[in-house]
Amino acid sequence: MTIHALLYAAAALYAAAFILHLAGKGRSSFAVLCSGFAVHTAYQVSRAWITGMFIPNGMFDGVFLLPWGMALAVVLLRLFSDRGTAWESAAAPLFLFALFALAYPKGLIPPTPNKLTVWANVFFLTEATGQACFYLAAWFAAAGIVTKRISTNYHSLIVWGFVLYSIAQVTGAIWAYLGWATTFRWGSRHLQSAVIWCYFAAYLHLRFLPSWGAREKSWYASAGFVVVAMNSFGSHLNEMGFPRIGG
Amino acid sequence: MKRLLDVIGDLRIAFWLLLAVAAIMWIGSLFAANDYALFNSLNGVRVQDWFASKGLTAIGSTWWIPGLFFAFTLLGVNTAACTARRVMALWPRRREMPAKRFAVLLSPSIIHLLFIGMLSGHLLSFTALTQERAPVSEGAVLNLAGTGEFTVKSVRHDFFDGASLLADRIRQSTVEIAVMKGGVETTVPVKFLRSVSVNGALLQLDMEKKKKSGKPIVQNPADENCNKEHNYHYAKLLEETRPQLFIVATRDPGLFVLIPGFVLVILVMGWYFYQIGFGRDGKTQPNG
Repeated sequence: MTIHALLYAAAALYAAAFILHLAGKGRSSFAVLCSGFAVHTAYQVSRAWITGMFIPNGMFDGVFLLPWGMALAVVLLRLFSDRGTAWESAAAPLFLFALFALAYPKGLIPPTPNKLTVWANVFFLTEATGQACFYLAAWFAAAGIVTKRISTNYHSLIVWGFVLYSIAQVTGAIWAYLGWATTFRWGSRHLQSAVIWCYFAAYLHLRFLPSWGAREKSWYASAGFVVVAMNSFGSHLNEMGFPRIGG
Repeated sequence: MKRLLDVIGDLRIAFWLLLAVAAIMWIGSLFAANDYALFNSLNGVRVQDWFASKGLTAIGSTWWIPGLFFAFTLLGVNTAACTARRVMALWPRRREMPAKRFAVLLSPSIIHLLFIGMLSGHLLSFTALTQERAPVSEGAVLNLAGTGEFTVKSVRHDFFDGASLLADRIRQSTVEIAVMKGGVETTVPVKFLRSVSVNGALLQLDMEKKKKSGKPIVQNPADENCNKEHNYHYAKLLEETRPQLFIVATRDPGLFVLIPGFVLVILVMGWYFYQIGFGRDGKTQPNG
């Protein structure tokens, strides 16, 4: 049995959490989701030894970190945010991203010397958790539209996502400076990362434009799902073709 | 004056400009993904020089770059006007409220000022940067980007643990250079991620691979991407190629604005969002 069995187990638990949510068993759904998060955490940590030696980069591969970040956010929301929202319904997108991770090459792209820095690790951690917040916000905004119960319960997720994503922009820039002497590289990865930041920076300004009501804001937040996906999955798909080891 | 600031600093304009910038960058990212080599050649050179030499000849793929600079300029002007308007409204009220409350209200304006600083720093980097590179070999005497002469004393590669799956791959390279400081020769190591400043220029390492004959390898355009791990796989390289270290010297006046600005903007933004409960209670204040 390889360590990747843990990822399969986590995905199965996320699926079970969503089924329990559909069955109206909120507490059980949350308990199973917490179990999935614990197993997923064990998987992320064990990825550090995927090459036979400790390389932290393995823990911070965005495709695997994204559903982990979403699970973490749902657990925190359930524990510390309002009880009126069925936060565990997010097990659905969580399971979908876990499925994508299952289909993704699981090895580690051999790190070049410029990637062996804590700045790279913090960049990938904050980028993935920031994106996780944006995806969840989109999910809850869309849920409000579909159920015709528009609320702003997703707003703090976007604020958290924006802060985390801003930290990712800064740590990424510092990493680029240390490794390549410039804080910005002209390439699709950097440009698309900036697209996501600008989109949600614009969202933060919506609160002060009276013509944008709660319904319009919900649509905007929901569209964020497509914006984040379009500006992150290109590089994920591109990196599928990169040589990997330990997969 | 106030009327002018109201018009130029309108938040609706800020919103649509942010979306316009996002749209232009997204279009640009498609071109950049389609022609990695062309846009990678823009890194390390001044944008105006690159555009004159390469950008104009490939205008079908590069037209969005002037558009991006124009949109960012408009956004900078809008942000400045919006910030000035807000500070002018807020400043007379500073004695009517506790200092902390005033600081919270002022924070978005400070963040926006820092954002303008970031835009200016990037503009400075893009237009005033100087970068030169040269291959490294023991005994070579180099003079790059105004560093003055320095001599390469030694070149050493450290590898990952031989028992791991990363065996035969370079973990770190060290180039010892001798520089003259105050009339005294000093030996300093340059490593990946551990750059050295010499006469205001930043010295860093880069790696490429060459054929054993010394000729450069012409890469298939379809295989060109940002993943350079193959350059560090020694065993594979030794079959037909050899690694070639480069020293890269960079002078970038924008860094003096960007690096402190990055730290400050995160600190102020983090403090501000903490104070308003990360938007939990909808207590955000008008920006600008």
